[in-house]
Amino acid sequence: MATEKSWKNELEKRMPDVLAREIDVFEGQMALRRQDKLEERVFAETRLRRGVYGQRYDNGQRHDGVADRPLPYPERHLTKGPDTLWHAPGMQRIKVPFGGLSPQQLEVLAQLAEEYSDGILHVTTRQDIQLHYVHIEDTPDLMRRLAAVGITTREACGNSVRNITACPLAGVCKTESFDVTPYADAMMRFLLGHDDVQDFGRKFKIAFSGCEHEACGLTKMHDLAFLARIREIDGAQQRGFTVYVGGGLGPIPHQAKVLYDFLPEEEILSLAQAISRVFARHGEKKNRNRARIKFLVAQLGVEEFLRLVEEEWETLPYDERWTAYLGDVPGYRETPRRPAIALNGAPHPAGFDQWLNTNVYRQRQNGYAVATVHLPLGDITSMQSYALADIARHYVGDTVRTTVEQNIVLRWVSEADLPALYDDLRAIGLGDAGAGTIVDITSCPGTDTCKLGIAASRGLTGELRARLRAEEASLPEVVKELKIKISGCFNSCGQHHVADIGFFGNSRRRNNQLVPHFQVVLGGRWDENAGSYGQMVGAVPSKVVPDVLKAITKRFVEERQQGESFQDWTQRLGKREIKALLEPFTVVPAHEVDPRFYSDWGDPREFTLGDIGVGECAGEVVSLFSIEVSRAEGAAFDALVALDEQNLAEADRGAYRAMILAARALVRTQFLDVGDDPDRIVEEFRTRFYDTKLFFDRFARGKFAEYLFKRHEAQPAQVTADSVKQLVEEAHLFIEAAHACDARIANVVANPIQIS
Amino acid sequence: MMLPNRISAKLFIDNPQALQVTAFIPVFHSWIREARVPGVPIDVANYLHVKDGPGLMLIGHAGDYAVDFRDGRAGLLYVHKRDWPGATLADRLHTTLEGLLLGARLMENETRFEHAVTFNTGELELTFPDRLNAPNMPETFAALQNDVRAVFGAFYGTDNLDLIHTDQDERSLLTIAVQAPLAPPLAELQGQLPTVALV
Ligand code: SF4
Repeated sequence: MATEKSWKNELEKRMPDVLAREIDVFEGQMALRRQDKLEERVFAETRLRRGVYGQRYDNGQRHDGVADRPLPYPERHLTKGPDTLWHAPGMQRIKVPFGGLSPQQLEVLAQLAEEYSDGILHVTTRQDIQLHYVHIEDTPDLMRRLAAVGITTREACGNSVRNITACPLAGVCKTESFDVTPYADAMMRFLLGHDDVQDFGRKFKIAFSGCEHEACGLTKMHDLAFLARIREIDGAQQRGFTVYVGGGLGPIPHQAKVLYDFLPEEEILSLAQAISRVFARHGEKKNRNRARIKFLVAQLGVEEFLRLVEEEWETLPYDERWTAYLGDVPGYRETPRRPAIALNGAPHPAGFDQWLNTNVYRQRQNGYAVATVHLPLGDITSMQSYALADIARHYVGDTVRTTVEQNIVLRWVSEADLPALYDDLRAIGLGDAGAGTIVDITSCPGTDTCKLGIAASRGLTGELRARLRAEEASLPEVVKELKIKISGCFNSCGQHHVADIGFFGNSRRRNNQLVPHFQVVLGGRWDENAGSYGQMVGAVPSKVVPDVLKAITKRFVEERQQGESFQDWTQRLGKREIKALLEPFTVVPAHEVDPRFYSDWGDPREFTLGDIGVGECAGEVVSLFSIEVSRAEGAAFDALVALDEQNLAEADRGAYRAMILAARALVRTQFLDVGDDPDRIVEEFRTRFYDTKLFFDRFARGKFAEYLFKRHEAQPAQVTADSVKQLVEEAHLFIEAAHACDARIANVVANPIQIS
Repeated sequence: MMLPNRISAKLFIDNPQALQVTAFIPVFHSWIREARVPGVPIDVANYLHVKDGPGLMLIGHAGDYAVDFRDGRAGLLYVHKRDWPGATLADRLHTTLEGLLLGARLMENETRFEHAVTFNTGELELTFPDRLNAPNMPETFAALQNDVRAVFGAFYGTDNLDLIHTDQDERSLLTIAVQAPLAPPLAELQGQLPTVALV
């Protein structure tokens, strides 16, 4: 009889005690949940704080292209959270602070992917690694094996401090003030499991950046961010940070505000603690849709927020870790594996020059370079990971980092080694050029695995990538330099707001069928630390996005003035022209004319949720809702134009009017004679769609309706650019929600029989 | 004796040049819709963008299928990954083989492909994605060898089998190539399996 072996026993001496204990506790909670002795909501949050996340179809239902059907998991009564079946596979998120990985860690990650997942490591836009299709019962062992190589999944998800990100060039960058790596590391160690970060209403994202003008740490889109600065006092140089607070993407993006122009380095940990306390105490807890710190900062104003933080800071009991954790900073350095030798003039392998041009960054340290390993869709196989670990050991040692653009960088490559490194990478399928260019598209998981996904962001990314690769050689330089980022829904995990050309998934109904669409977002700025956010300019069917991209880039190349950036060009072109440019692409043919429009990229299933009787209905019948909601879209568009032209009052009125019209469009599907009086429309909308929860999104609940109620109840005393911008965004989301509501209702009517 | 909790088996495709992998996407979806394979098939995952990877996968609760390209060789892989408490190693190998052969036959009989897919049944690759119970070491290979030989001897109807421990890298999964002197049709091989309950 074999002795029962376990990873717990095998790794007992290799896991830090604290991590080992935490994992045991989690395993105990799993056992309690299995016996129904731990409430499912409580267990869900516990699980999330261990990085054990839900995945699409984990409610046990799936639309197979014909009908919604239950997935016959064993023990369907057993749940790991509300509406989340125990046996449904989930996603394991693994925190990689500042993206730093050793070859050994990479190997362990690869082994876990082979045994518990699907053989793929996925790099996220927060420098994490994600494994998909993981069974919850495998997670304790998975965590133990990570703990044995110094990785924790603690607080990788849930309402806590998420992975702390930093520029992947930190320490080797030519424009940085200083290396932010040890500060990011200290912040991570200080806040991990800290008492003051356990009671947040929502997640909290922190980033570090070394300089102001590159993209680096994307400080302006973070809840809390630190931008390295050096100042001189009495001839001595002092290190510190500009501190940003209250930024964030998501449905309503906010640019972070400067809290301190310069904060001395030794104060960053205590400040983070004080901010955490203020967020925990004053942040929204009930309505998770307004619970990010950006809403608190916006609501209080940055001055009042600062006052609260400083008041809190005063009362914090002294903690020696505030400075002790920074003790490693002066001695922190990376040791190159190989001597610095310049790239010589010997003949190079085919394709090397192009790769050198796009994937290699010359370090501040002479003779060394950073090589970017371009991962398609952020994916790397376990076999590639082993080989990459060997390559890293040979050329650079422990200096591997993941990036927020879903790639991996090898730092401290001796320049003379670059051709050999290129050959080695190419041999394992990781030698693609084009890192950071238009072919290097960032994408969130979207409908592939995300529960909230509306459209197939990865499918679209794969399609665009293949097409752009095919014509890469002939693309004008100014097009190659553009960045594309794609999210599967408005939550912006693909960071579409900070791309030149962004897309996020939504849907439209044509007759009785849903058609996958992507909203086009133009003119975001990646550099300057996510310097500005793009603007929504219209939704187009998913299947025409490649054509839309072509039309936009062609027009840009044709009309661009000398030295003009894409952002400046979109500004100059203006919303009306852009709308006119997109207009021809918005047409959706009837299903029998072109059924491809009714499924998404890479997924042959019909996108529609309720298609019974389609054949009979699929004439040119346009629903009342479609006609009416198009007026709302027109008003929202006018609001955008007014905002562009700095006509704030007009933009405010337009956005409000757009929401009223969208609400009216819904109300008129039930009550034709509602009239035009906004009070009456809002009242009817509230009674018919809000109180009945018909308007409620499964995840966002009634959030979007509250945008309308808030603006309807109180006209702003004073309109500011920020407040109007927010209202315009809210109007667009309200319209999206109205579309979704209409689609849900249509589905219920068209498909009353659910197979169960 | 060690009992690996996850076992995968892969049959190589005879005519990889004729393979149109994307044509498998709707086929895998139909396997889910029509419940053609057991073990709660859930969804299709596309990894065709990575080199020599798992290609196209049909993810399931108890097992996954993949039109797999690892090591640069196209094949159909089936991995059985849970729900076999109490089963002997022979039972587990049989369950894995049954899952594999079922998928392979469905593929061979698939009429939606422009070119029919055929398999080289004379060679089969076994891997054990369970490093706790089956670490990639000569000792593990030695310990498993007799059981594997017994199961495959009955499967192919011959003792004349080569079992090769193919990848000695300790980081990798234990991998055994099973080579037979003959390549019987899939249906015939299926008939050689004892009846096991696929979950
Ligand atoms: S953007 Fe939406 S679809 Fe994409 S990962 Fe985030 S929540 Fe999911």
